[in-house]
Amino acid sequence: MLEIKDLHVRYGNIPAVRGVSLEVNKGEIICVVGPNGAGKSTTLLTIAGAQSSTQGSILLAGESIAGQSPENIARKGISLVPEGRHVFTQLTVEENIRLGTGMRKDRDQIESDFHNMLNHFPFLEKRLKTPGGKLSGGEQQQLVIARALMTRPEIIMLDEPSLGLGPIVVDTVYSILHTLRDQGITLLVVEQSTHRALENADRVYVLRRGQIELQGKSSELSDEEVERAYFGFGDINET
Amino acid sequence: MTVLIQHAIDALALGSLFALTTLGIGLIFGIMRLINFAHGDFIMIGGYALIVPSSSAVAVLFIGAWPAPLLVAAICLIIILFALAAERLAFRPLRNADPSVLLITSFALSFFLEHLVLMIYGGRLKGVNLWPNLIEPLVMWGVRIPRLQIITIGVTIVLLVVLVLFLHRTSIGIHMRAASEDFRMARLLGVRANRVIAVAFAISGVLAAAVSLLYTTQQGALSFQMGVPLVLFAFVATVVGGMGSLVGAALGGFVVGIASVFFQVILPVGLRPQRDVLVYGLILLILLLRPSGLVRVKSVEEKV
Amino acid sequence: MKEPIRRPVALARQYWTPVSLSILLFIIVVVVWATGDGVLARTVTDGLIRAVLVIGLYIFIGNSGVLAFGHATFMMVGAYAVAWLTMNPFKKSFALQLPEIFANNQFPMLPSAVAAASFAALIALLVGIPIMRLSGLAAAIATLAVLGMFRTFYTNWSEWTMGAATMPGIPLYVDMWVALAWTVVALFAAFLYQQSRYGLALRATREDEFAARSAGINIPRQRLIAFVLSAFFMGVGGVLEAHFLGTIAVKNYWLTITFTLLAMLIVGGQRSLSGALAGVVVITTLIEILNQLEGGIDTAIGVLSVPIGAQELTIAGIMILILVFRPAGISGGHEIPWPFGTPKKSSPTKIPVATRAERASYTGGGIDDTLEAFDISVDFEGLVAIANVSISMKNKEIFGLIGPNGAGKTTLINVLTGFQRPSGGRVMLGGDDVTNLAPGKLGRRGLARTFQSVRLFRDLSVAENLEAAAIGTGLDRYEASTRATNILKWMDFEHKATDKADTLPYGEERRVGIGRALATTPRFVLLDEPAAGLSDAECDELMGLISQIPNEFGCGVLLIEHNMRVIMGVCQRIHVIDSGKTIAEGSPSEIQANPEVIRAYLGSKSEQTSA
Repeated sequence: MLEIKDLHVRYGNIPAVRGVSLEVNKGEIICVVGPNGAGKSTTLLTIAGAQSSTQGSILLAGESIAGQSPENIARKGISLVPEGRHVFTQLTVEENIRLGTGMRKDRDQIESDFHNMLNHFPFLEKRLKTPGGKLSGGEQQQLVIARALMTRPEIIMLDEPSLGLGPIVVDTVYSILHTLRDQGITLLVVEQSTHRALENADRVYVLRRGQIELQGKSSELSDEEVERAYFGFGDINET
Repeated sequence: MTVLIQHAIDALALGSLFALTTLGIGLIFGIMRLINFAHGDFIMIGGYALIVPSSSAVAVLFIGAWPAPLLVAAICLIIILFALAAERLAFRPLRNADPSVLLITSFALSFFLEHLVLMIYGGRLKGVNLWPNLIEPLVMWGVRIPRLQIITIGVTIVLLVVLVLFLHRTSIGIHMRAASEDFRMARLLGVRANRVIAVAFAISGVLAAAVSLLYTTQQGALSFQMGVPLVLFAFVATVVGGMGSLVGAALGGFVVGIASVFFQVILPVGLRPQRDVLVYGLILLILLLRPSGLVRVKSVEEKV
Repeated sequence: MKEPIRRPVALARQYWTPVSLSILLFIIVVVVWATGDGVLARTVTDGLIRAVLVIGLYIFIGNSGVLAFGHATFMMVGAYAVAWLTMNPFKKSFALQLPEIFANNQFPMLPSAVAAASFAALIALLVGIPIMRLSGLAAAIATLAVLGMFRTFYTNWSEWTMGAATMPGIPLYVDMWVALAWTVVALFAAFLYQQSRYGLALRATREDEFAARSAGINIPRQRLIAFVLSAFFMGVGGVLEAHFLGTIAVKNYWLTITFTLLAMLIVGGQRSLSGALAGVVVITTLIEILNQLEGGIDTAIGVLSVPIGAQELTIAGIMILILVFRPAGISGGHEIPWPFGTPKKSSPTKIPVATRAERASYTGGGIDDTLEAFDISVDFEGLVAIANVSISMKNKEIFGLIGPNGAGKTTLINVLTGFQRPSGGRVMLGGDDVTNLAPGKLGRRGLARTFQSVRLFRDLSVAENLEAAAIGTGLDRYEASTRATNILKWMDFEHKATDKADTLPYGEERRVGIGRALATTPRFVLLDEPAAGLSDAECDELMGLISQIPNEFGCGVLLIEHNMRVIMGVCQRIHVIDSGKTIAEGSPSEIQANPEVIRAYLGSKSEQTSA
């Protein structure tokens, strides 16, 4: 349903993404892994319309969305949870959660979704009136996922959802992601940990220096293969 | 004692006018980092909209002669239209530009609007008698207070409360708060940038309309540069209050208003005309001690 | 035979910008003088006075990138001061109550002009001290407060200023030639300032405040210097106008003149002297035409006239259009190019080439120099970024710092370089506690850094990038230029010395970033992901460069990098952090063999089961 072909993105002189092509099918969990500076975040931001590309196409259900504003892409059902959480610290937890519902057409569904959400993230219920900035890092991460889900996206893109979280919280986050997939939501996740990616994703792309180094079904890829792609072939053993 | 109350009300009334002006500027700054020089000219345009366009010396009331509710609505509408047009034509093409480019653009726009009015209405001061009965003082507990000051304070309180409710209770208000904290994230959640900015300009226009009517009634005259002193004080109030904070904006407005009246009262008669020297001096002093203003805002400070 | 000719040519070339502009203005003045048209001569004089003012404005705004709305203050201060000095005592006695020394004397014109302008500069110094500490936008607004303050003060200071009334009787002596002479002075002063170490340092802050601070440049001080010099020429402009019109009035030093001068600078282009002058010419011409139209012009179809206000309306409209469609103004930031072809690319002045020993002696650090961090912790609003990390490195060591994304490497670097206050722990440089020193101070003490996002001074040349950093450590322009040349030679990059930084390809940008850090003669240099985005070939080159740094420059290198090949290839010791904690330290081979490290990078299955 989401198809990216030969995407190029530059920041001024800096080439960040150099000809990335990837494909996301409905109901899949796709993980993109790669070292820092590989262009993972840039790819997600570009899909979401927050960064403009210099070349390439982005098709959502066959329709080009490249060059559209972030709000319009969000309204078409792609929700990005960028790296660094971006909780609105001055807004209450409830305001944060409901912020993304403004664009929904199924108004009558919002309340029941809201209650489902609180079942997913029970700690939020007691803190609905707390300013978002007062939550801990792990709580904020769950809050932004809850917030993204309330937009009822067809595709949700998460940039390093486990960054800076303790292992228990990471497990919680991933179990939520699996539940979402079971509900028919498509997931595109950027992940640093190749093991986590291989364990959770249906398919994995390894990005390095702005290019796809390796791709395949996670069931068919070995840890070693992914590691080598991640660090660059043989780099680590060469020295 | 009664004198003290009179001074206090003077100070609050002047502070109210500044606070409303500063809020109008601060609201837009929070969202798009634009310090709008032309805000004073929106106030000025509201005044001129009351009279029949002509360059003759005697002003003939036009909208100014309408019944009050209709008059207020019409002035609000006219200023909002100007504010929206300014956003669409001058500021939208520069949305990603540096804040200093936006500032200088608004300075040019301010000159444009002033001289547009000058061309149509002429440069002479025009006497306008809007709501003359409001100037008459009201005697309460032996204190003589012009009704207008009470109304100014009242209107300000009402507008502040409505603004706070709007920002916290309506979805567009929440969108505006979100946008002023992290515009990109807000857009990723479907918040429409154009709409949020347009609403901010519209609200800023309503605040300008309130100041326009109160100030015109108080001054009893129109000039094409009548907005300039207001906007200058509001600017420094914005900096003193802390750029990017609405609380700071209102606070800064009141500080400047109260300081003005305070110096007016304590200075010997001969030195009173020099009052503004002290007000500006005080502002520079505050900035020397607190370079980021009274209320510090993190998102405005440069990020690494 | 060639030498005596070459020297003046080289000089003319070096000073081509003010020379060419002066020649152009001279030609205009001579032509107008030859026509004998008095009205035109007055227009040109007026334009030249404006030129002095716009150059004054340019000195501050153009070099600092900070807007200022209050410069009319200095015009007014200069104009009134010169009136007190030069008016006939008899005329002064009518309306002013001045102290005897002013009341009874009439001072000569030129010294008075200089004194009056210096007075304006003094006022700028006093108000500039608080204002130049503010951020750019707030400073722009605060200058407006200064204008409001002085305007109110002068309006009510009747004994000295005749209050709101117009003050007549100022001697008239300014004609085209006097105005031209001052314009030429202003041009050369602005040019010399811009080329001086102060001007270069200020331009660096305009391009990137963050990188400038880290190179040890004191931003408020540099802005203040430009502000004062700029006020001096605003004062000169005010003086000239007073002696040209013969009258002055407080009300004329307000927003209209501020607007007109800013419009000239913006329309012409605020980044070049040629732009400033182009703006004066264009707007003055426009004002003249519109003045004629406002007065009414006889044409075949009757008297044509435009209403009062059309002038400002048109200028404001043009200014908005320029801002939207050509933000760099007519000149686009360019100066008039040298028309006589380029000689062989060689540096105009001979620079002694430093030996390796000399280069190494640039730095302050000795053999025993150390950079240590003890128990550093940082938390952001309850979120722990790093916890109890300690590192210690010695002079001439290449020390690697690695860890997965979000591990806290950049936070640690920010603590070491003073951009982030730690919530616990100490940073020691050569045994001195430097924990809470500001970035600039640390820079001057010998801690230099590069940035992940490079942050070059984009509008400056490659050499100027290095020189600006060297100037931050207190060198003069010649020493800085020598040092820059030496470093560029070492990097084999001399051929690009005069290229603008933003024209470089990305890999070269990174290299200049390293050169800039080395130009501060650091004791320790921190390289923040220098290999990011480089090709394999560029990485090899980079590795060669980095491994030479300790011996060539006598300093230690702290390398933060994701590229394992680079890290393993050049570092002697490597420190690994993950989730804000130290997980390993050792030689490259030890680190590669450490399963903990591989796990940190790639995550592990056991992590989830063990949790």
